[in-house]
Amino acid sequence: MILPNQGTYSDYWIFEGILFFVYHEIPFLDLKIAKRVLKERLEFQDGRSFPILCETKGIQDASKSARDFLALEGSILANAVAIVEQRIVAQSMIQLYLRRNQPLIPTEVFNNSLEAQKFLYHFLNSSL
Amino acid sequence: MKRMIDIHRLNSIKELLLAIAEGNLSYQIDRSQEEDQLESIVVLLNWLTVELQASLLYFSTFNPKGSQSKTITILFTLDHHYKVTNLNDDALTLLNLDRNRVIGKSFSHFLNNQSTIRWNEIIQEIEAKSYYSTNETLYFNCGPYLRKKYPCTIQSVDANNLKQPIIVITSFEFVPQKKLIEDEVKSRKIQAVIDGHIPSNQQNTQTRTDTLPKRKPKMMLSDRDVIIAQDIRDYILKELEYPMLSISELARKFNTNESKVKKAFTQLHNISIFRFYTEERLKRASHLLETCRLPIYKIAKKSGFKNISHFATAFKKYYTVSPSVYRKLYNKDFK
Repeated sequence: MILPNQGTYSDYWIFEGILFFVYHEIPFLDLKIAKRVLKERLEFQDGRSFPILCETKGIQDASKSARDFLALEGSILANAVAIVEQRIVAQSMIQLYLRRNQPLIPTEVFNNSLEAQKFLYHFLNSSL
Repeated sequence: MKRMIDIHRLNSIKELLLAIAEGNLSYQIDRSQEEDQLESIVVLLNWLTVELQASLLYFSTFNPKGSQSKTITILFTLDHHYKVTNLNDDALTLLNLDRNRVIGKSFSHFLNNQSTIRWNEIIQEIEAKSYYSTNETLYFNCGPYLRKKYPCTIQSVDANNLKQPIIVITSFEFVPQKKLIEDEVKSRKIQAVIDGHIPSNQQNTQTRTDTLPKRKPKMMLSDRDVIIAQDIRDYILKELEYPMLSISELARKFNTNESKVKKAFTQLHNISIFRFYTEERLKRASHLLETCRLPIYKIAKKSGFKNISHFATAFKKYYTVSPSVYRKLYNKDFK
């Protein structure tokens, strides 16, 4: 059994070459939180790149500055991102985020974790 | 109950659309706990309003000479029970408040639910310290449907200097200069009517804005130029790890000419292409220096620098310290 690393705002672990990343309950993700989340992820990765499976169900809302920051800086040491989200409202938020910010790396939204992993397997070879 | 919530949310959407139609992009709708399509629309409208604000800010840079907008200060003072003792006239106008209904009320009365929770935490922080100062974004209620977001500075004033400690809350909002002039003209006319200088039946509500200085507008970018400048930015960011194409190569890649590439990029992003490319690579390097244990030459390579001495020089020029010193300062594994 894999024990996740517990960050301030997220849990993360590596399984079969994929970095799993699950947000804690965050009522409003602002720039300060976004910076902290990125710093902790990069510290955990220690210079290695991974495809990332990101579960966003803990996030209720996010500020524009946090969204812009994650779209740009959030791509560091990430080969691709699969966002797992089932909530109707959150899916709308993510749709707008992806259309408006156009992340620099391949990014897709999925209803379930299995589909997300299938997508990420295509990006395994480029991991360091 | 559900129907009442729906009516409230529909009214909120209507009010926000009316505010946008008037050109006011500083309002937001409070989120409910509902998980449905209507709530999706609420969120999308909130986010779109902020995006529109950012877009308008871009257009405001086209006439940098002369002030396009003026900063209006918002000021609240609270007593030691956190009740409002005073506020300035601009705060009353911007938040659509009546002075008589504000003084003596608890400050939390003017905040939305989310900010009320944060405000209660701030009160605890204030009470734990003799001096307190923080910057916090608070959402103020503006009527039953909409809210306004303000970045606030909250500061306690030491009780030693006063009979009772007080809390001062300040913020600001940018208001277009044109609107200010219109408002001032309108307000003077209303005052003149009150003072009896102009009979009310002769009051002309039409405000004159043709006295505003006429500025020659800077040439706007065509839609195609904007798209090219955006695409070049995205291309540079995607290819940060590799040496950048020359301007002529970029021009060929995006089917345009060198002069357009340079002009469009600088005008849209307020920075030259080479400076943008260098700064973004250095930012990436700084993230890696702060967080990982890779050797510096590898970090330089991952950030698109082929030559380590070039990297060290550029880094020091931008961050004023060398990469190794920066790492010692900010990476917990190197302290």
